[in-house]
Amino acid sequence: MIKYFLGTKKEENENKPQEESTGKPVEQHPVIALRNAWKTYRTGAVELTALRRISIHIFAGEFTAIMGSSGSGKSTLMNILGCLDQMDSGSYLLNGTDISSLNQEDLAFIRNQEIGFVFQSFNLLNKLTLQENVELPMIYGAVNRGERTRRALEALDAVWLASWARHRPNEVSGGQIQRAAIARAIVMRPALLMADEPTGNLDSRTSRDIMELFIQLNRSGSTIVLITHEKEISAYANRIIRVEDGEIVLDSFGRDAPKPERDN
Amino acid sequence: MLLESIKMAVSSLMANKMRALLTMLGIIVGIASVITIVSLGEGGKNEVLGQFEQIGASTVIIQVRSGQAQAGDYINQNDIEAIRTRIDSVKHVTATLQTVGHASTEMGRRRIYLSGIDADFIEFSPIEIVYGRLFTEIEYLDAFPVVIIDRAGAQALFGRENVVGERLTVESSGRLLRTTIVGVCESVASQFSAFASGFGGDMDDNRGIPFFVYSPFVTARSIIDDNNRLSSINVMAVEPERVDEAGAAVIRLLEMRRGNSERSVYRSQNLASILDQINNVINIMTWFISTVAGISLVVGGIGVMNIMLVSVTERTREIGIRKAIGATNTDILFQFMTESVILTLLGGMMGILAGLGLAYGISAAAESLGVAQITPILSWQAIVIAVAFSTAVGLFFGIYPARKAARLHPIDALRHQ
Repeated sequence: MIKYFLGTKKEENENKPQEESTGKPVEQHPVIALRNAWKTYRTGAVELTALRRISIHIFAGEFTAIMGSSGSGKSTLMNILGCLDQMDSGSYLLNGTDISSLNQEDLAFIRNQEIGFVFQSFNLLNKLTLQENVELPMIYGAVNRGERTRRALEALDAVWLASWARHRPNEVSGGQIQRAAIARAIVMRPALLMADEPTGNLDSRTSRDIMELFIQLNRSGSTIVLITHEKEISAYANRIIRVEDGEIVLDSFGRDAPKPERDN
Repeated sequence: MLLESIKMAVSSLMANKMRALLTMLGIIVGIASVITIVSLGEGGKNEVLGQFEQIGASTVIIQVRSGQAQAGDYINQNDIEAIRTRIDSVKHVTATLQTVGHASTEMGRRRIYLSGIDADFIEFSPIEIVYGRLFTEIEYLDAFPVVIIDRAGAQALFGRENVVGERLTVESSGRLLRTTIVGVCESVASQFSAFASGFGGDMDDNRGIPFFVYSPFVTARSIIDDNNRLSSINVMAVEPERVDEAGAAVIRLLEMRRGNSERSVYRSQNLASILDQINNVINIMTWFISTVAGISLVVGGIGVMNIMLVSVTERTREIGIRKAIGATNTDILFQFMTESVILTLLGGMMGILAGLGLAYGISAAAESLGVAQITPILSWQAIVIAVAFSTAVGLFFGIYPARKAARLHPIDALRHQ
């Protein structure tokens, strides 16, 4: 079993031994443990520091919104948390795995197994049906055909799309496409669900439906990180982290949000 | 994963059918040309082999090289008699006088192949008598004006087949000979006689292959002006193993009689050496066409690479999505490699079909023009080689675009519009 090393004194106290029986870390252990993350982009002579010394701990079952204006570094943060990009320095444990030491192939495996992405522009493959889109991560995850079909339909059912399984993205509405994308994101039962401006391309009513869906998923145990610049959207989360100029300026728990189950 | 990759590749190719077809064209042309030449070559070889089965493995043809020969070097009947009596390894020896002439009856005049044969001829090329008989010893010796005509000739000249006892006027180079038909034989199905005597190309008659009329050697000589000079004789060894020995012995004897050994006027050809020559010609043609086909395959391969690069650019976002949800670099590499290999493999298969179609077309055209009768043969080796080559082209020219796709950074790929 993987031992966690957590930065602060307070968190160290929380570091309980893991339950051997489940294999995956249990709720009181962080899904995300990011310490001192630095990221600098260089374009020619210009240097842009996107992240400065960022440390975040997110625990299982939390619904966190990362907020910030464009250029604040929140996209960089999301790419690093989503294992799409690597930082220059710092350490990152995702669900207990040290990400900073992994190569490209291993990162792909982590993305497949531990992370589900929901994008602003949906990012379904248009030539595939909704069901085939939902099956795609399982193809890369080497899930066998029968199991794939069963789980894809289950996931589509969970987002109320069971009867649309054989339709292609261009035959359904934007809200339905995003729900299919959510089905694709949860079908591998990842440790972390990452949503990058998931309602950015949707009208306000559909946005509400999508956000209700996230709340439901969160209640049934999903750990969600939501990237957004809209206050109304971030209000659905029970924890808000605000980023400005590559630094965290605010980390607060929402007023009606249940406090994460910590032992303190 | 393989099955999924193939499914993905097929659906992606199906989305751009015309583009895929045009991309495959170079491969199709390359493979088709090789398949055409190889299957025609195989068919031709087979055809020639069939024809030479008649002369058999123990026959050797002794020829006078016309370039080196002087008047006194040509073979005559005395030489043949000497060969027959003095060489142990020789079982039969025959010389044939052949010419293109005409035969006429009250009903009409037709073009014929007139062959003056001796008693040993039937040992080399059997004459199947349908009506009447073969020539007798005395007819061979004393130049009786008798002939044997083939069935088709009888039908054409008399309107019936059993024409034994009828009169036939045979003419060649202005000389006439009135003969009596003593036998009717089966038509010569194979073109061997025509082929072997160099008449193969002489078919301006528009009626296909002329009829065959046989007469005793000395009878034919009375109208065929050969100055008693034979440029070729057929020798049959006592057994196939001694065919080279018999050929060498005959040449030695001829050179001894003429005293011209230093000019090497005579040469022997047997089944094996003729087959060697044919194989040589076919091989040279095959190599030549293969070179052209190779160039076409390379050009086709570059086309495949080009289209795959376009496809990678077009699908950058798709690659990004796939990577975001867990596709490894290897998965992406595999997907694009599969696509290019399926592209070239499909082109190869279409090329095999096109090549076979072309080969049959050419053979049908050649047959209707009376040039040659060749049935194309497609060997499994040719198919395997064609499939292997087209796969190799797909692998070789697919690797660069596929690597380019595999190495895309997921974030950049996702941002691509």
